[in-house]
Amino acid sequence: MLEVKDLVVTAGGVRIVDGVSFEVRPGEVLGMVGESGSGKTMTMLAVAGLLPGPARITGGTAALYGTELTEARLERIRGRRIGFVFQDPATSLNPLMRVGAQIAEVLRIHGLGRTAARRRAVELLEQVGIGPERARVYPHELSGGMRQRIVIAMAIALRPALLIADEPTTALDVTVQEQIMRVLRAAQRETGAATVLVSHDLGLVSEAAHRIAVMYSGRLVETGTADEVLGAPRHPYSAALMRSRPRIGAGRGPLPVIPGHPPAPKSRPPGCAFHPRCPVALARCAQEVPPLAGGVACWAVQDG
Amino acid sequence: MAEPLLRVTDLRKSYGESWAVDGVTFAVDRGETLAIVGESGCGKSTLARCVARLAQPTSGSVRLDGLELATLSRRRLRPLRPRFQLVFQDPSTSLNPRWTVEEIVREPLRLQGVRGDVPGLLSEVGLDPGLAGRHPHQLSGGQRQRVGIARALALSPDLLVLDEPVTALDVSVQAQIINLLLRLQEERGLGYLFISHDLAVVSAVAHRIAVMHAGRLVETGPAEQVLGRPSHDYTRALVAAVPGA
Ligand SMILES: Nc1ncnc2c1ncn2[C@@H]1O[C@H](COP(=O)(O)OP(=O)(O)OP(=O)(O)O)[C@@H](O)[C@H]1O
Ligand SMILES: Nc1ncnc2c1ncn2[C@@H]1O[C@H](COP(=O)(O)OP(=O)(O)OP(=O)(O)O)[C@@H](O)[C@H]1O
Ligand code: SF4
Ligand SMILES: [Mg+2]
Ligand SMILES: [Mg+2]
Repeated sequence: MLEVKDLVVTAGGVRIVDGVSFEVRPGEVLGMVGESGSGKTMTMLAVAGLLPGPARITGGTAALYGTELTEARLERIRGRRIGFVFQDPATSLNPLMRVGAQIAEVLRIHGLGRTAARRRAVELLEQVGIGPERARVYPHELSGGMRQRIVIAMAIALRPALLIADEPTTALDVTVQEQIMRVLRAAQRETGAATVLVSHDLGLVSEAAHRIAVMYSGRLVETGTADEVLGAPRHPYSAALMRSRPRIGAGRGPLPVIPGHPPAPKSRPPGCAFHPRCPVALARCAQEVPPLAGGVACWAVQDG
Repeated sequence: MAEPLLRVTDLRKSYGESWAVDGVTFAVDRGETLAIVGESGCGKSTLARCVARLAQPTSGSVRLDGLELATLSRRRLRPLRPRFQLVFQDPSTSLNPRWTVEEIVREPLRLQGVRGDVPGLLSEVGLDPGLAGRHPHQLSGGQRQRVGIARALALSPDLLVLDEPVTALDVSVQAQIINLLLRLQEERGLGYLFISHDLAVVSAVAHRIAVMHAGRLVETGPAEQVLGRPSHDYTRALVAAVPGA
């Protein structure tokens, strides 16, 4: 069980993640969606203790089965209990090491003997659909999709309690996307890990996630089941986003667009960050930040 | 009957032993969008590059207003370049990072030795002319794609070849760029060869759709027909695989 509460991440004096709260239960997949720059990656890097240089956690908590994750001394616990799959498999792999040995190394660092680690590495390869004969190849000898499967094998090697996949298929060919998602879902079911799937691709998330969290300008604006959020979104931003998706059958013609673009964190407007673009904004929207209540952070929804 | 804007006949392109484009025939009219859809690796980009003559076709014919392009030398091709332009998928890799927006959009004008109106082009694609001094990395993905489109429009082409022009963009930005392309087509009467793997995107822009599989077109027809009543098994499988459809 992952519990994140009022998480704030600051970089260069700006709150790039601004009070985010959510939970993920064991075996559950939370799909985190939002446009580029909305803070999805920073939120999950903060949870995993992997924030880059200038960014720091300056508020809130994140706990995995009651163990606080935001404290630096818990480095080892994190490495063991959180598996991370990044967008670009190359960032997670050592180009000079055979892939089987890389998986085995993860296991050995955490106490498995040499032979047991080798045997388990082969099992893991099989689990992600790669034959044992490939254990001895180097990353560059594999396709992008296969490399990402190696990264998934490494991420689940220690049976993590939390699995985070940040745009796991974005850098890959469309044709291998489906395969990677299958492998990821099988791995997730097998480990029973609480899972966060970060993606800007609503279609992909709708197929894989039980629940959805929508981010806008560093804040969470709506959460709910996948059917609720994608099928009947209540927050004006999520609703506008769903409407702007092209659909087969809608025919040729202009799409309903959201005017303007999302603000950068340093020029986030006061009150509800969406208010300059919101078709139903009220007077108080420009002054007070709406809290996430009943799954929606919106004054119009809460008052209406 | 009048010549179509673009007529491609039995186009082929091989890489070594294998045929990336294996006998493709189609036409695009003024003011019309023909979308080419198909899975990764089926040859869409190769086809786009052959039509725009960034790659040399192995055989076949590419006629623009009846004029054969496929066999022209680079030198003979140059005066015709303004009439057809290519817009790429990833705006960040197709724009020179060291140039400003102004320099990027002016480049095709400079090469052809014409003056052109850069601020006018920027406003036409919905970019604040105040961004003219910026470099690509100082722009959002959507702004960068608008720069790519402004550059393609600089020489008033008749035909745009668009290779996955909205694939790298967020949903809301994707919708803005699709609307921009629809508006420009209407205002300028442009013909579009629109390449995409995304059937939902294609349904918003295409008059006609051609389905490509392993280097060949397996089905071509009006958009509603191809998406609604596909006649080829491969097309049916593609349509069925669309998430949420
Ligand atoms: N190293 C950094 N230092 C300071 N600010 C950063 C840094 N990295 C990212 N940011 C800022 O933090 C904000 C959130 O970025 P984040 O990468 O979390 O967005 P995202 O939702 O993951 O977007 P994308 O879909 O593009 O991956 C952005 O406005 C970004 O400019
Ligand atoms: N320069 C090249 N040299 C050798 N083979 C190539 C070259 N360019 C493309 N190919 C091959 O030609 C085939 C078609 O590739 P192409 O890039 O046209 O596909 P695509 O349909 O655009 O795919 P995607 O949707 O992934 O962009 C592929 O098998 C590819 O590997
Ligand atoms: S809080 Fe106000 S501005 Fe924000 S989404 Fe709701 S109605 Fe719109
Ligand atoms: Mg990200
Ligand atoms: Mg391509």
